[in-house]
Amino acid sequence: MRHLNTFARLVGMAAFLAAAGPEVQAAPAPALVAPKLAGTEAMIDPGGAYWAKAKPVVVEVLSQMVTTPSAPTPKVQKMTVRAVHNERYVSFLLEWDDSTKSDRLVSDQFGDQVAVELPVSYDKDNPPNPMMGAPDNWVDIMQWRAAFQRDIDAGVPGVRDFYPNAHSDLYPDKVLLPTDARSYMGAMAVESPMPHATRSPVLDHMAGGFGSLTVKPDQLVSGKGVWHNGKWRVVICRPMAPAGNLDPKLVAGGDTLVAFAVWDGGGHEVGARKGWADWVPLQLSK
Amino acid sequence: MAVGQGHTPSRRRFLKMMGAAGFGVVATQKAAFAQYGYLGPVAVENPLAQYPSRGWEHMYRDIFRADDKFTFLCCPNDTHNCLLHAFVKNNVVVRIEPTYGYGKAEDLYGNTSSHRWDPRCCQKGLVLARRFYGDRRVNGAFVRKGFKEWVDRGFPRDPATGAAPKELMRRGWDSWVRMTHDEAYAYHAKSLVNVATTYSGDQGKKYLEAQGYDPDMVAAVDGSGVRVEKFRGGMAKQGATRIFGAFRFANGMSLLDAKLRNVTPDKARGAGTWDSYTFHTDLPPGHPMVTGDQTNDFDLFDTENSKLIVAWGMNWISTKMPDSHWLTEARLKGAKTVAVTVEYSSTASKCDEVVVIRPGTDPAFALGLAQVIMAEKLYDAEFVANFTDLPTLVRMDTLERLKASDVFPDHKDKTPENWTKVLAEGEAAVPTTMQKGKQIPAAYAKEFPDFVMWDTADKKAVAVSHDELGTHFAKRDIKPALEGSFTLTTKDGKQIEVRPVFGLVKQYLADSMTPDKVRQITWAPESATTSLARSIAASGGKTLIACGMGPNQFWNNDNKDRAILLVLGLVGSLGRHGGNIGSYAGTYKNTLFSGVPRYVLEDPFNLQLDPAGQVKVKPMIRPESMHYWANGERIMKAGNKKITVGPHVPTPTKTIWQVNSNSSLGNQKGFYDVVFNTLPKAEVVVYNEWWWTASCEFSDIVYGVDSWMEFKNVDMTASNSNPFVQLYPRTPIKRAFQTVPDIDTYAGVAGHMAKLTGDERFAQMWHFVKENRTDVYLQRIIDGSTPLKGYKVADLEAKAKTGVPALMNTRTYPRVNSYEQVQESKPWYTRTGRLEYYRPEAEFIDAGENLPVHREPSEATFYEPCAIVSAAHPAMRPKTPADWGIPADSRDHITRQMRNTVFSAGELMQTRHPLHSKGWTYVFHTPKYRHGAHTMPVDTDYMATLFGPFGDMYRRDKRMPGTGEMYVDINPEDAKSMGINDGDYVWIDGDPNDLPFRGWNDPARKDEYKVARLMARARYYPGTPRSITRMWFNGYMATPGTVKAHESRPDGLAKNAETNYQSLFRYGGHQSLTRSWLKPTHQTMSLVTRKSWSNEITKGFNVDVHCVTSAPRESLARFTKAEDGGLGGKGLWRPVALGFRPTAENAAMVRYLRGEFVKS
Amino acid sequence: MPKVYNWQLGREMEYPYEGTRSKRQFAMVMDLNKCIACQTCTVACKTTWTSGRGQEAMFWNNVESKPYGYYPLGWDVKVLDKLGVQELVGNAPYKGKTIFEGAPDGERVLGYLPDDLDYANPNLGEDDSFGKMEQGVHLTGPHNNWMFYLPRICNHCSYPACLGSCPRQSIYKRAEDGIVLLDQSRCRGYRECVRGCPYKKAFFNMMTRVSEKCIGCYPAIEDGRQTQCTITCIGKIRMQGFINTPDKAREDNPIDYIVHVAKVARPLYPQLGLEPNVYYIPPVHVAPSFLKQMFGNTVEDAMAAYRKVMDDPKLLGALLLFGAAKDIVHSFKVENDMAIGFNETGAELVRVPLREPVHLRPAFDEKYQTHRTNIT
Repeated sequence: MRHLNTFARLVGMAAFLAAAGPEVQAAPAPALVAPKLAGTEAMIDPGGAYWAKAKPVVVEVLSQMVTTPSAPTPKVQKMTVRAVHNERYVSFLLEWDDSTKSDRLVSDQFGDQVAVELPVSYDKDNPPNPMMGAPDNWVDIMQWRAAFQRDIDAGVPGVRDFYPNAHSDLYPDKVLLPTDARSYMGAMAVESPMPHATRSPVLDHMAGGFGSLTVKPDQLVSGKGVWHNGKWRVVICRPMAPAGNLDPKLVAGGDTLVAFAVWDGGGHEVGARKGWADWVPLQLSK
Repeated sequence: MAVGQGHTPSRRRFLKMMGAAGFGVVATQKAAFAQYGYLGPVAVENPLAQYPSRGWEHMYRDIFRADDKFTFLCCPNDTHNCLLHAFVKNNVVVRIEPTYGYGKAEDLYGNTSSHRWDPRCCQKGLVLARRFYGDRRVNGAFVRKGFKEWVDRGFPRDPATGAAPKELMRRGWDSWVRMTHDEAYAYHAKSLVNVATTYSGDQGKKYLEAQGYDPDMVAAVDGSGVRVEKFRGGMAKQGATRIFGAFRFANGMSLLDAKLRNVTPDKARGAGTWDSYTFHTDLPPGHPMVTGDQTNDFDLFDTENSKLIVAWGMNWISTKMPDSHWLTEARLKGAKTVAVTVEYSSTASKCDEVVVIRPGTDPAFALGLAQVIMAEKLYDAEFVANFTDLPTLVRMDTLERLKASDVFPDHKDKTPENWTKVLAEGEAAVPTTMQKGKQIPAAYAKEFPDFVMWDTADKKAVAVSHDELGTHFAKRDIKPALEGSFTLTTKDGKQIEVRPVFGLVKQYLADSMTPDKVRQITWAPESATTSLARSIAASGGKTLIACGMGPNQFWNNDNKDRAILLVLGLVGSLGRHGGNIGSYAGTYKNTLFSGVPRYVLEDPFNLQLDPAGQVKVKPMIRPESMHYWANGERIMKAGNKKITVGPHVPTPTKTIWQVNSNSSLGNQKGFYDVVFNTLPKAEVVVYNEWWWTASCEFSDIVYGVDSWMEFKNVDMTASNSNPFVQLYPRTPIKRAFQTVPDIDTYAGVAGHMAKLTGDERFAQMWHFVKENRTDVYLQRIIDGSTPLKGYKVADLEAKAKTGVPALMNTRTYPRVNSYEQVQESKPWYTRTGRLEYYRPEAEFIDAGENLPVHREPSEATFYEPCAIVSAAHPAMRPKTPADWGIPADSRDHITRQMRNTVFSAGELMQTRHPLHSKGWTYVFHTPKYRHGAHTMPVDTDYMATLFGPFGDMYRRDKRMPGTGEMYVDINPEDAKSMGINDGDYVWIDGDPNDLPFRGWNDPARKDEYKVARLMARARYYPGTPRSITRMWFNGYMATPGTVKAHESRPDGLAKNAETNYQSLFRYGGHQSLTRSWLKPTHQTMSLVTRKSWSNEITKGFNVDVHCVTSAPRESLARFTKAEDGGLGGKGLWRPVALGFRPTAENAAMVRYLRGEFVKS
Repeated sequence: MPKVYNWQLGREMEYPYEGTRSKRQFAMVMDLNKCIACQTCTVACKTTWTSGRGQEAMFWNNVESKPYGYYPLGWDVKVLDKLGVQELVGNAPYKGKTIFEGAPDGERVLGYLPDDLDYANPNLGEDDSFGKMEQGVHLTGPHNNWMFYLPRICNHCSYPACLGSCPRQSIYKRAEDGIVLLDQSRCRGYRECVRGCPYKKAFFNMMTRVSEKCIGCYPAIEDGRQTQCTITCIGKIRMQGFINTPDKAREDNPIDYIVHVAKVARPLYPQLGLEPNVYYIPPVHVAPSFLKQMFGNTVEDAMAAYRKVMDDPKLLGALLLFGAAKDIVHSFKVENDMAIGFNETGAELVRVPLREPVHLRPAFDEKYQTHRTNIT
């Protein structure tokens, strides 16, 4: 889709500022400071005491209007974000109001999701396009999915979890050897990461422009989300040391940028139909 | 731009995915998507032009790939039969495809079919892979607990009546014991011997009388206990050895009779056998009345030669699916297609003209056509003179056909010789293959007297003989009078008035069946009657009328046949390619396997154990109609009159063994009366099945047998609507369940009979089964069959294995009946040798049916049931109720059928059905539909989902009995008038005097009533006229087990917890509103017809040719709303609420229907 | 947006991508006068491709009774209603709007996402006819009461809306045969294709959480064989092969002959602008007013041509080759009252007579010593 990519590359920030309308006249969010904590473990508990040490930053969520399809009105207006690190892991806590928990995917139902975006290689003079990066300036995107969270908390749903009275006389896996039944499992048979969470509710991706979001071969990010009283509290946590050239390099005392995106499944938000928040400076305390 | 590469997934990854899917190990986080891994973000420039990573496409290739394929023959209850290819992965069938071998069929003369015949298959066959491995396969042999106890306790019986204990005969409510087939054979054999012993001799007679059986039925037993044991291979032509074997077993029961009554073989009697073609109401009973032959039909592809094709009460498009293209292609090539129907059917949508009439008034509509043809002189006078009895003279004093010997002194009747042989006293007919036409046994030699016509040239009466038809008659240069009245003097000097049949018919039609009167009776606009009559006459003998079971399943079915045959006889559109009549249902033409008796009726006392040796045939079975049994073991008699007499009279039924027979119990007419009132009187009920049907639900023993896919014995079948003989090839696939071939069950039970009786001949009956040489029996049948002689089993099977059938070597391709008669002037199997439209026998005169007339349906009418519609006519002299001592106003189920009251069309309109005033104002008919061949395989998930508008694989409404359900189609205005919304559940009740079963209102039987009372969805169906409702026939009906499951299972499935039997009704079934009907004209002692498998003539009862057919479409219904149609019973059914249903259209839908979303 | 040329509309139109035509274009002709709604195609497709978990209610091939049948519920009524009243296709060039041109701001195409419940009752409206049925009718000419069967697969459009609406380009058109595929390994289950395809032939699988669609049986096509729904069609209503654009039409290609030369077959809802490649021979018993909305203005010419097929033996031959062979008939000819089909290399595949012959056998067979009758 060259015309769109080109367009995006040229306008970058200016474009969305123009497109995003009056609300961005509000003061840009202050820097997100991640205090350094003791410990060597991943920090993935949304209720963890360590979050008290982090200063919350409220980020404005804007509707995605740059590319199509778009979400004319954002279902989520703002998110409260916090960050902490322990030199091995950096962890983000994202909180927002959502009256309905959406973690059931059938043809007309979508799931709640949230994502944290980081530049893969940060250069202050040439920040990547916050909209999925650019072909020559990739971004790292960690996306948590409520449906994956449900897989982990309650197990991967079967047909009768969606349709309690469903009846089928036969399935290929009932009569065929697994080797033969395999191809009948659709996306599962071709290794797609979409069908269900393997272990983490978060998928780590790379992107270089619209439509290029791609799941990474190595999945090192973890996290956990909890919905309570009309509020999502989701933690996304990644190792600070890069496993390869696809990962951002994060060090104590270092600066970089972080951006966010959020989807309200109940509001049929999915893919480019989303709310997003622009780059915020991220400082990893020494 | 970085672009990832495709990659081949590994087995290791797959297991991880499976694990994650809940099958075991969980993937480690590290390198979770290494296999999936792309080296950088993937973006695609223009997917319309180019796509980078297509490696994943292997996925669907993997699905499509198969290790192997084999051929099997799919042969459900339809008239088609298809060789199919089954594709296999590791010995599991994954999909089924047509073979495209039908264009390669050959006969013995090098004639071939073309690929116009391909493909042959249908959705029912393609879905079989789901069925072959389904959870309703009969896996082993099952014996009912109560029955097992009865046998184990040594057959305790009531000392006074000899009846078995009721508490052990609770079929349908009892549970099951699984055992090996051999153990079950032992139980079966013991009970056959015990029952035959119990009911033999005087003691047996006393028992049967004490049990309250009709004395005539007890007399028919005549001391032979084996005669209360009934055997039936349903639609036996579907398995020349495997299904006909049931009758061979019955013939072998004579060994037991000889032992029990201690008589010599010549005095021994075989068991009772039940009919098939007549039981299924597939016989068009008027065909033998006009032609003397079972059924006059044509291969459906004869449409290629026709100018006008009338689908009459035949939903060709829905029920003859693989042959539908012959109809649509004939139309494509310029033939005119017409549907005579009772609704806007799928067939109507393929026709140039459509005539919608009132159900059951087909005789009147046909007579209206004949009236126009006669009145407008559109008939073919030459054909009428040469081939019909219309010029023959009738004595107005006796209404008999005038015999030459009545009026010509010293007249000597000619002995029939034209393609006819009169057998000498004691002379047996030669084998069918060597029979040169009609064979008349000495006993019937006098039944074919010369008859008389009035020659208008010489102005005198002339004698005409049986042989003189067609060119033979033309040679005599007689100009027969068709009309007028003549006075002749009989030999004994009596002056009598005589009139030609033509004139008598013409008078009846002119007075009673004009287009205007026909409109009153049938609703058909006058334009329809006149224009169709003229089109038929204008087709120059190239009109094909394909009749279906619609009209045939009404009580007046023989009137319909005689009337339609009259229309075609008048215009000479018969016995020609492109011009004929056919009647389509059932795989009935087993007469084309004329060698069958060499297998079925082999003399059990002189068995031929040498494969090459000559076989001795000795018929000892006693065939009877099952309809009397289904009628509650009641025959027809009332007042001082017995209608059911002689060989028509059945014996009491104490044991039943049926094969390939779900119709005969599981989908029986009057199902709930049969299973709750009649079946309990039987002591042994055995079914062979490969799928657990409702028949199994009510059995004592169920033998799990092989499905077509698993056949390990070669067998043979053929159709009536196509020209192929088809072998069931032996298949390589492993049996998926504990099943055996049907033929093994006969051998198995016989083995135990031999042990119990010490008579080895029982076992020897099945010698070639033990030898694994059933092909010997098959070859014997082939060698004795005129269209097959010359074929070798091995050659036919070898072809079948490649998906190629062979052609039947009938006289012509396409096969058309009456061909020899019309093209070669050979006689029909009638008394005059001609097409007989007049029936002079006493039974017909008494019934007021000596002429072709219209009679009203026996139940499905708003008017006087069974009424004869006729103005005063000199040849109309039926017996009245008074004549037979029947109360004048008695219209119960039996007496109304003996009630020969006459009304003119106008008078009929003034009458009312006795139930009409009580709220029974809707005709309820139950035709077959596209989604089932009989009931196969409608309960399979996909099929049920596609069966009509209520299917849903996800069963979002747990009230659904399965993934689909049966429903009743009602005209929207009618439904609204009853406060019934589209999609609501309704109660549907039939005649409260008998239905759903006699005794339903006894509070002690409320559990049975709950199972039996019909509840179903109502659908607004714009295609049916007001007052006419329809429910498709094919559904699996509710049983005690499914009702219990439906009410107790959390998911609401109506699926028997123990047997897995799956109902498509919550309560009751379509047979809740049907029952048996016994038309008097089906039960004569005098009609002359041809026996099956031979050219021999017989008289009176002739199984599957002349006996009762019943009338399963005779129902009148009352509807009551039961539940709302909305999800979970709340509010409107969703499609109605959203405005997408007829009469509930939303604004967009209205615009759509008008085509207003576009403007020119 | 780029402009592409749509021959069915007789003009250029907007489309999200630059127009490119595949080397070969998958196509199918269906004769609605012969369809019997037996659902053999549906079951052939379902048992071959979609018998897995999550595919229970998914029918890549379905047959619906028009006018009251639809799968999913009301799909065409809803799409036409959203697009609004448009000019008739056929008086080229089409003056109305396509679903690409009618797309609202921020959308790529004008579409809608069906409710999950819309996929229940896949055979809703089976045999329901238009109009009131009286007690006793005589229908002649176009029927006053009517219905007809509409079998549907993915149209493997030249300008697919599913492809156009996928924001991550996971749907593509194969250059070698024009089959439109949905990449099972890249789809993220956004359901933009489900929303965008006006024919509703892209489906969401709740077990794999991605979408799936008809694959044009490419594993068979790659082998020179017609699709499963075609080779099992006992109504013999289908022929599957490849179509050229009108300017490149080949008279000996049966599909080109039927569509471009004889002009008896028309695409489904051409006004939507996708250049769909399933071509329907319209049912001649139905009122043209309804059919024009569905197949465009020239539907009446198509009906007339079908009625006169006996004047065009070549057309008759092409139509009688439907269902005669499993393999794709790349070219054909009619000679001596036989229609002959050839494969890609020009080798004969099959020949069928325009009229099935009548054979007469001897009344008595001396060799096998038996009579031969039509009786017993």
